[in-house]
Amino acid sequence: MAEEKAAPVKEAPVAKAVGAAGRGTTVIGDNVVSKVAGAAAREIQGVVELVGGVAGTLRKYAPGLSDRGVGTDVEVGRKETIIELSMVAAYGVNIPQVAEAVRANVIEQIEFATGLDVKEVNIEVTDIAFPQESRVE
Amino acid sequence: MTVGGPISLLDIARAIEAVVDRDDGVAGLDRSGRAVTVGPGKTVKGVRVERTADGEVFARLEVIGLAGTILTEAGDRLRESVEAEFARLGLTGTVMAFFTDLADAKLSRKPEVA
Repeated sequence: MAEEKAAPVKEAPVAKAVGAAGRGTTVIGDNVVSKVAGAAAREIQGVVELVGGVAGTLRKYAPGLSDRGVGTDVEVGRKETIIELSMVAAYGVNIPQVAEAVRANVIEQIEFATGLDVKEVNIEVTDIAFPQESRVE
Repeated sequence: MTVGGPISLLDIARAIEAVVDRDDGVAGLDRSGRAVTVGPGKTVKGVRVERTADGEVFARLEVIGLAGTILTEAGDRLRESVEAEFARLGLTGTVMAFFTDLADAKLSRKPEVA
């Protein structure tokens, strides 16, 4: 029987658990990862808005809060993170392509800013916005 | 600062607070969090300082990062600055930098009123 190969362990690009001096740690909070992911998703053309998530619920009751973390739920471990996004796409775009672009940008920005290894970016497109729809709060 | 005796935890926390204020790589301390150092007549929010059993200092900093920066590098630089401050004060210790939030620019701290 062939010996099973162990899955390669991807090393995180930036040291985060232990600093350069070998003392102490730098920890990135969930809120920070959530905001970076939200900002990265919004940079992609075809994303109208992010909706839901913990921050979205909070923002309903406190409209003054920043919308950066809205629509993102994250699980953050010591070295890895999993991100869930809920978004509204623009009518007329290729949704799978937009989702792929969002996924790629979220991974790039999270890994750049936090050094965390992004294991999954799960995207739910919950609605489509038509150009003539006015958004009245 | 206490003169002629061992440095207090509050003095250490104030020194750390000053280091964070000077550091342009982070926005500032998150003063809404749980980390707090309490001393006579003063609290320092955003920093918790403890002495460990072996006489070293452990500091937990709750920090707001700057959007668009590499947070791990900012955290490493901040910890090195705090460790240098420890050395200046004749202390050895460990620093944990916990990024709790992001801001677009350096936070200004209101001057304390006596």
